[in-house]
Amino acid sequence: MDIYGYAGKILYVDLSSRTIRKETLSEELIRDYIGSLGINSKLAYDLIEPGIDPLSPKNCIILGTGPLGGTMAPACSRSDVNSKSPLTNLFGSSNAGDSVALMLKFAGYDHLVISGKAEGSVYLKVDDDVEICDARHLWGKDVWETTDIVWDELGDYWVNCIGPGGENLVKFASSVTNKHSFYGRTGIGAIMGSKNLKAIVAKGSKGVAVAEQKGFLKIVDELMEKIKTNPATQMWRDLGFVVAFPAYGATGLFERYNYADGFADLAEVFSKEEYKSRIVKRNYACPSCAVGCKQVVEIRDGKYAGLNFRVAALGSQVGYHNQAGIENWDELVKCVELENRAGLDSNSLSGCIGFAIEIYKKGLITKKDTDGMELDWGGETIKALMEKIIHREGIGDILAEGVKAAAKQFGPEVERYACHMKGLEMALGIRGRLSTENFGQFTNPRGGHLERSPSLTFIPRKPKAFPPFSTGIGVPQDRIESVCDGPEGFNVSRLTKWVEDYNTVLVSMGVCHRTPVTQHFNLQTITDLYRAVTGIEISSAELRQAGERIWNLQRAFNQREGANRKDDMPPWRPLNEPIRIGNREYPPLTEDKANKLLDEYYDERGWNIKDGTLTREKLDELGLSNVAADLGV
Amino acid sequence: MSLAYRTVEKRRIVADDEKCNGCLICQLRCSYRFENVFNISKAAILINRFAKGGTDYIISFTDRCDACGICAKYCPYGALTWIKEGKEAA
Repeated sequence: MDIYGYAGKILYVDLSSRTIRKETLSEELIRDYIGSLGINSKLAYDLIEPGIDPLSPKNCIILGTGPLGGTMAPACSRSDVNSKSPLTNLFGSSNAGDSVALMLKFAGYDHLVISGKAEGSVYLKVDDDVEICDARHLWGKDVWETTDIVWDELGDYWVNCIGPGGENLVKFASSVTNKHSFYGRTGIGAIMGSKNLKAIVAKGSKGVAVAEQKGFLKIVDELMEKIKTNPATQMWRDLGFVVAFPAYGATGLFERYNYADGFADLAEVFSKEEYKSRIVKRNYACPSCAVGCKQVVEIRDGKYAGLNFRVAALGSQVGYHNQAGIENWDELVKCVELENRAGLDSNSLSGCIGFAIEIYKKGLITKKDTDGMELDWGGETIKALMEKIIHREGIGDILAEGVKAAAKQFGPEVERYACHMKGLEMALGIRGRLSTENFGQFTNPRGGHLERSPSLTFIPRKPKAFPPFSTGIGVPQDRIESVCDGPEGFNVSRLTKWVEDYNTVLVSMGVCHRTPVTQHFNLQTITDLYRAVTGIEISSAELRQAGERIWNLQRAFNQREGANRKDDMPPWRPLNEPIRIGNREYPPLTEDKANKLLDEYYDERGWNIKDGTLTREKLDELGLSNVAADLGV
Repeated sequence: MSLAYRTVEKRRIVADDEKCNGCLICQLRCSYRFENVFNISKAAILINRFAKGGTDYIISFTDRCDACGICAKYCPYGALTWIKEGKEAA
């Protein structure tokens, strides 16, 4: 077939046997799983045997960009990497906006699958050729040093590498492209480390063709104009996620001290005025993005004067570091610099450190457990524990396993303070107010993170906004009444199902999930764009169903590993402790309420309400009868 | 401020590095005009995204550039200005 939008190939590299194989991307894969996360999920389900140790050579690193990646479609060049996560032992997933996967596409590959384990340290170089190269001179270097060495040696290759975090198999180690763009969550860096794979570097000279040129450019022009004329665009350029801090603080999305306290005065402690005047030098953009919501930080005075680097989401990192009680912008930027160099996921790292500080302060662990260290909230402890985690020294060796495993090590009395879902440290509080974003942490196959379920619900809006929004993302008319039911205009668990399916379509195309982008898309827009790019005749209903198929396949991956309803339950603390946000105390969510939410969610999904497992009917409907057979349902 | 110029006949592109966000939209659009596919390696405008350790961008032009102005038309960040017959053009 004529391939438009896609490069048309999957690259397979086995590091044990040093074999390199190229396979044509099949029409069936494209039609059923779109690209990026979708095709990755199918490859992961087929190639990763259930029950394997995620850090064994049997695990695969599966990387892919989407069919819109590399075109001018605005903000459509994101990519996903998937594997079996060493942190959760379930489906692992990380998404990045400015990654080496895009350059792999320009080199001719939509997807890259890496298996096996190299004998010594290596890096993978992909251009017109594919080569496994000696990386002994890079091993031991941090992310920034490694990237600089490769740029010096090879020129303008895009460099995705691990730092000492990944080398030392810290289970929440990340891999980082061009020093700033993270495959952050679920431990991809540790898997690279386990394979002795220091880096993937790429440079491409091939083109991406689109099928209907005029139609494509017309849609691009319209989207560009919407982005350009939207007042929110400039706010996001100036502030990134900081733009929404007042709402995040007031609604309890950002909490602090290991989820023990609300943080109503977030916008005062981390003020946008200081952010703009002292911390940020300028904004920057991912490839093909007309929004440009990421920032270059440059600290010109004070203790950390001279720090200057690109940060993909400093506003979100305030939220993560709040769990360890970070004090101010300067301390945050310093900690982010250190974790960027080491290649560690900010969210999990802060979750683990906040947990350690809290149980120390409660007397549940003592200096005997901390190698004599005093632990207290804030940057000093974060930096000290980070060093120990990176090098797996003493308590750092325990925390490097993630908060779930660390809690088991420290004994049952501390497990209630381990705030994770499926083993992945939480990203957002859930007691102040529920949205699809924070409820999505319960049901996301990768565990406690939000980016698979972004919608209009993140901050309160008028109820009348939800029926048109829901229709726009593909909720059928006969479901609107149930989905748009409730005092705020939506039923969070039912709406989350549809948001997840829709967003899975976007992610599988390569579209960014951030608000200043997604607000300009709906299911029809993305269908029109996809058809113009690929020339594939597919309806919006078929695409929405592909999103649902991909979501169910990820659920099947987890079910095959033994996951069920118990793994969708939030941790002890938000279920059992109230939280104070400003002047108001919010009750705990309670197990009863969480169970009711899950009942509704499973019902909306057509899964077994009792245990959250997949049903034969749903799998047959999605063309996944073979998966039903695998699972014995 | 660091400005690069490309002048061909009475057309000129003025590039302001400090306003560049590194999005590569200019490079993508330019390559599309020449090649009918999106291929940043074939563009006549180049964005160096690795300047100063990766915190700044440097815009330059190859000899292939004929100052047609399409890059300026699509730049979302005001980093490129197209001047024709001595006047800023849309």
